[in-house]
Amino acid sequence: MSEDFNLPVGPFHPLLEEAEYFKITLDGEKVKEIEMETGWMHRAIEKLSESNTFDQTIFLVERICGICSASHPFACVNALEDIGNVEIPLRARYIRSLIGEMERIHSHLLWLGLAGHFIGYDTLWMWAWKYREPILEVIELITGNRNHYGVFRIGGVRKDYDISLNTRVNEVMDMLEKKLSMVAKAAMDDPVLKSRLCGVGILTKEDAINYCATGPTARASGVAIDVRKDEPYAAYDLLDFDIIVREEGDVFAKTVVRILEMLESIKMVRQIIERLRKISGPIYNDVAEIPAGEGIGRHEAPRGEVFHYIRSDGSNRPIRHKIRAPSYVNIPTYEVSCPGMNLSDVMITLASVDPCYCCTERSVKLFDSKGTEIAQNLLELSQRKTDRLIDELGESELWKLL
Amino acid sequence: MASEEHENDVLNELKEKIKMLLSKKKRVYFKVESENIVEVAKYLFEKGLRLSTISALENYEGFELIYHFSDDKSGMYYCPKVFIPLDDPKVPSIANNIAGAKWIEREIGELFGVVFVKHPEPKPLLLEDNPKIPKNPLRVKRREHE
Amino acid sequence: MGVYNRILKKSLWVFHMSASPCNNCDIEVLDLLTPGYDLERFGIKLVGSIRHADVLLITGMGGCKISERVVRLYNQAPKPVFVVAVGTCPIGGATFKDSYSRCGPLDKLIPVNLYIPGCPPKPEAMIEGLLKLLGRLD
Repeated sequence: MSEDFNLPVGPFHPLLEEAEYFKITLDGEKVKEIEMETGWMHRAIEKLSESNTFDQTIFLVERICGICSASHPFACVNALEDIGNVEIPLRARYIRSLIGEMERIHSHLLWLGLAGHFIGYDTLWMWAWKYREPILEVIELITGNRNHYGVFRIGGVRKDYDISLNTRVNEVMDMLEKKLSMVAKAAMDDPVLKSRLCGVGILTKEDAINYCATGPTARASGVAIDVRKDEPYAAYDLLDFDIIVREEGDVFAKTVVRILEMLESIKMVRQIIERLRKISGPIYNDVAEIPAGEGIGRHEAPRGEVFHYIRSDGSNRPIRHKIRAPSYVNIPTYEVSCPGMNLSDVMITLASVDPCYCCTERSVKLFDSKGTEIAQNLLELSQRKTDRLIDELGESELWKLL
Repeated sequence: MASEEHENDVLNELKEKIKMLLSKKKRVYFKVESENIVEVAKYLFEKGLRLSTISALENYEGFELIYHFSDDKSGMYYCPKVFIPLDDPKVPSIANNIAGAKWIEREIGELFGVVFVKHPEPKPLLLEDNPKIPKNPLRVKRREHE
Repeated sequence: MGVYNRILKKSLWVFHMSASPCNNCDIEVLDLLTPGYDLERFGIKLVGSIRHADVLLITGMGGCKISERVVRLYNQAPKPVFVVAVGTCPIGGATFKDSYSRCGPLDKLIPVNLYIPGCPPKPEAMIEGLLKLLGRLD
């Protein structure tokens, strides 16, 4: 009988971008127990929200998480519209869904890359993130920012979709579909990857239900829940898509669910931009005030169900704003999915629920030293500088200088 | 309407234990006495409903705990509300039946100072070892004489 | 310092640290390393330990629980170490400036060499910032 060994992981660990602390109790190589300490990212958003007006709150909740930065405002406006029974115009509904789906694609690609990184498959990381870049570019074309879109408002959206972007969006979607099936084939048929992921970190259906898991974590364990189908909001009742469900519950199933979901999202984006061509009209309804009352809003974020509960007393501020991010219910499933595994499999199991421990401005102009605005691509500038130095000094001199 | 029938279906057996507060499109709020909440939560959970979260808020009468149960088949929300007094904030824990409530109750216990009786792991979740944090930061600040 | 700087300039090793951010800057920092921007061509690379690092790159508003660790990590870093604050949060707190859990701004805790504002800063802005840091080493 070997002695138990406590292994601390974090708060700063090379594999975690975010600070998080895990206490893993080991018996030899086998994990006996895992305990997690949170609070490193606590920013008191629920309290801050009480001192902000409803319009400001939407911008605040956008900054809960930088990866799913459309999810929280989405759920927040849904909650506010639930209080006031606000109807939103059709065009705004489609634009909201468009942003939501774009975000799902980039978030799942991000996860795919990080998952590859966690198991030491850095090629997958570089691939996935390379193909994520055009998506961010398209999002920037549509909303004006790579992340933190700022398009949601009570009663509609702030920014209209420009139909002339359709060509570019279609181009990117075509490229992505092709590349994604390539990545999917390379990743899903790889025997090494399969033996690394299959049967690892199994979350049974009973546990998924008992821990109230949501999103891909639940769907990979055979629990077919998806807010987009269960309680359709925005334009999801008008779109044609499927819920991806897998029964196995292991890390591989979660990977498959996410890859197939991306393809569903691509399908939805194509439908939306095609229909936006024909739908005209306003993009928001003016909402004069939010009446007293309580409202629940939710949104199927890339990681699961985002839940917002807002209580209003008729003034312009919420008196209570409860936020429940999807990772909050998905992370405790570690308690059942990790014990019994080898230590080397823990990291990928932790990553498999796509934990966002944080869920838990842009108009900066760049000026050079003379005060003229640098609006060009800075990459280009840096390359030009290198070229200039080569011209002035010659390449061999430049290397000496460096 | 289909959703109303369904609602009656779910809540019929609980009739003696609940007091209807508000029922609107896809949302039902009802009052439950704090000693009954474990039973009500267990009943709803066994009906196949999922606990989304528990919201706590403080007003002049006391604390209000709102349990959000989501029926994923119909998109309905069943929200039992428990009212507990400010000077003796105690409520039975539902975490023994629903594992997903563990973290949620720990967080409320720490942010509001509500005591969950018989919680399996009664320790703080977020603010442990945090040097500057006020005690129960989400409580409403009142002046001394009030 | 001349020789040291000349060598340092060739390969800045960066330790990335998140002090209660919203994750956005962190992801954009990682984005810099991937083929879209590929910061490694300037010799800049992320390392797993502060003891190997020349640059301490910090995002986030500086929550109270984490700020203690920020100071500890700064003390552990081999000097000279350049501290880079990415995003508006470590500079002014952004939307979180009234949070009860905030111990920032960052320069109250440790000396900061370079600020890159933005919420989040564009990757191009971060490259510009880091190149400026390289320029300072001349």
